[in-house]
Amino acid sequence: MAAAVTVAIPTYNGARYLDEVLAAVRAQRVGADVELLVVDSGSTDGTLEIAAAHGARVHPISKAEFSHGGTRNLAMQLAEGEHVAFLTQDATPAHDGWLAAMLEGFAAAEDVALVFGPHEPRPDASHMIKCEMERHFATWGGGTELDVQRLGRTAQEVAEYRRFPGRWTFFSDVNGCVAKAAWRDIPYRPVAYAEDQLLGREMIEAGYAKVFHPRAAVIHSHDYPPAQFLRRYFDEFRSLREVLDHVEVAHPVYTPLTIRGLVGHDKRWLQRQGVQGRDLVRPLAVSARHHGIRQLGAIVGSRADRVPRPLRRALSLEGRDSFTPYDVPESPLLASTTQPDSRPVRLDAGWDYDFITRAYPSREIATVPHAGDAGGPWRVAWVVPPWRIGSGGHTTIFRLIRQLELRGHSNVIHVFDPFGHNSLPGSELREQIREQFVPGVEAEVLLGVEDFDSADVAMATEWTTAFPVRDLPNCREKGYLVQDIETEFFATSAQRIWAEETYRMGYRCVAYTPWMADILRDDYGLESHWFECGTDLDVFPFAGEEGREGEIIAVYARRETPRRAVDLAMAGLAVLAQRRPAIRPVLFGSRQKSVLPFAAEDLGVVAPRRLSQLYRQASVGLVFSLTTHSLVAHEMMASGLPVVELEGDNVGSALGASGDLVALAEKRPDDIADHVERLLDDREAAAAMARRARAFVEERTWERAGDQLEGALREFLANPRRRG
Amino acid sequence: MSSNDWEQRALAAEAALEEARAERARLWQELQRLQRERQEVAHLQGVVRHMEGSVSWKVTEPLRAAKTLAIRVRRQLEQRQG
Repeated sequence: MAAAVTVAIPTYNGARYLDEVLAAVRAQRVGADVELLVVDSGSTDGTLEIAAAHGARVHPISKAEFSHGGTRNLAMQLAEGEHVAFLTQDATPAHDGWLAAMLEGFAAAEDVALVFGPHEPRPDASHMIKCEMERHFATWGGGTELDVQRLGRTAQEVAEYRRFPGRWTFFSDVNGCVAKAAWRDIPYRPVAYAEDQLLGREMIEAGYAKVFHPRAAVIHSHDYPPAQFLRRYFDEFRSLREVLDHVEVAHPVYTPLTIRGLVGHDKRWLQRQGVQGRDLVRPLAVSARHHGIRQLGAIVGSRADRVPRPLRRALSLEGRDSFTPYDVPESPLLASTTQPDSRPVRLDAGWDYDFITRAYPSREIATVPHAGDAGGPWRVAWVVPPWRIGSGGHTTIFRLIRQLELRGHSNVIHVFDPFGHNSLPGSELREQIREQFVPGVEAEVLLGVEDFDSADVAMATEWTTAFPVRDLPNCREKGYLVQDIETEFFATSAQRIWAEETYRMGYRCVAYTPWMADILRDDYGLESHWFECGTDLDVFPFAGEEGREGEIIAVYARRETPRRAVDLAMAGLAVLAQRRPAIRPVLFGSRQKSVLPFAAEDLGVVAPRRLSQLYRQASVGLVFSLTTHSLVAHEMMASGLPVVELEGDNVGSALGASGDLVALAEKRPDDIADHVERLLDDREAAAAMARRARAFVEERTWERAGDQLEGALREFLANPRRRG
Repeated sequence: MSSNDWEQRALAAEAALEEARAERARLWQELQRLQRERQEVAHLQGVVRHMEGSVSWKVTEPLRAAKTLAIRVRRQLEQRQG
């Protein structure tokens, strides 16, 4: 009957440990027939007799025929078993469950090609070797758990593999088992050394799995005098360069730090063994010498191509003077390009729009069923995008949050930042809100939505936030605070599609202005309530005609937002400047520079109190918005500054279409110039309009906005969504 | 049972419910605070990791070790003198 598993050992004058090794193999308790195969390359020390005594099938070859890869391929061909466990002649299975553990590793998954186990040092090994082995095998499953390695396909997994391939590729045929089916696909390569590392890499890169089994342990270690260690490490790292293209770092700072780190590991290991104080000095001096030699061997070995042949031979423990890089074909799983004339695209798991890809297929808004209990206090979770100091939209959100807090409701702010704009922790963002936006806000600020727990109402506040809010668990209701029609922010683009998608998610909306609520209701069929913003009357106190300078025109010129139609305002002013060369437009709100055909000055982005000063000094204010009505107009109105806006439903809905509160110009440069000129010339009418505007703004307080928002949320909670 | 009793019981139940809601909101707020502090700890751990992983930190390690040793020696000398 053919054996189910073969234990194969290449030998050459290995009598020292072979009897112990074969006895341990024969003692294995495994529920399968075991074939013991020895491939000997001309031993003369009694190796063959020992092998025969243990009933091994001996296949002799000449010494010249031996190569690490070739001999193991021969063993694979000769082996009867479908799994071939390789040992070296000095690696003794640590217990009678070694082979069973090896076979158990193959049961971990269907695609396992290789299983390997840890090496336990022989008792006489040095503390450096013992420490190194312990640390090395702790890489997999902490050294105590079964660990399956497979090349993942996600960007993050591929990036991790490229950064530290050894975590995946390491395989040792000192103590490793190969599945014959996988070997037929990928045999050992005819390389001088490190054939096992190459096999491990090729198997992993071909998509096979590899398993570390902590119970498949052998007793195996080498100890050499320092000079021999140098030569052995030279050999090892030359081979790693040949088959894995590994080049050890040689750096005046990093290399000593590496040695220091390795000595530090040894120190901690010795301390765990009870070595303390002065007793550490001598072994650590030995460690420092050993690791210094190791790094030297590694640095020179991995640069063996630059070492002259005679020196290579002298440095090599195996007396080899060659350097033969093995060209590993690129894995299709790792291929960075398919076209000879293309460049690979940078792979990064943190792609900005990952939140979009995860949001599909489209899902309904997730809410928990409830009976319509609108009693408070409520727990309201706000998901907001990162902000810049001065952001008007965020000021509104934080003012509304403060209003809810003053009414006894609890709030939390989650900052959703897929584009990585924020670098501050939550505590600093919270302070920023309190110091730069709205004093007194108590809500905690959390980064991301991963720590979201539950809420009575979760509020999206901008199109990107609508995607994560849709899927948040444990919410009774989901709302969408819509301050602007964000689809209008984008030209024909993917972002426009996604922004519009958020209006089809079935949110219950609270819109800024009745105009926007109508759009959401009429165009998208959404349940829509509205609120109107207040104005900070302390910052923008009313000023009459006294102190205003005749030709100063305050112009909201935020070039960063095209919806503010800045160039249309500039065209109107250019027409006006031809008629009245003495006008002095004062631009504000933008970090971008303007080049204009008329004299003007630019304040840039300034604090509200500076703007308030300007509003009290200017004779006319110019604020345009092609979408939602701008709060800048409210602030000018509060300050008693006569305002010119563009006519349109957005403004008409907010202020009325009569032109009683602000002058409404058509979207033409000449009409804009006409309206500004009229206000400059007729100061009595302008002042009367400014007083009416002030009275209008005074009615619209933040308390009123808070009532409107609270009313909308109460409506949501009192009227649960219909299901099914 | 009179309608007055029912009213009393209903009022008491409503008061208890209101109290429970307020307690729930308070606990929720507390949970948010703990979550924020947990994030804070993770953030600071990252900052420390980054700092301790920097070359400048490693290069100046001997200076810190020397300082620690000097403090220890000084203390021992002070103890012997005291």
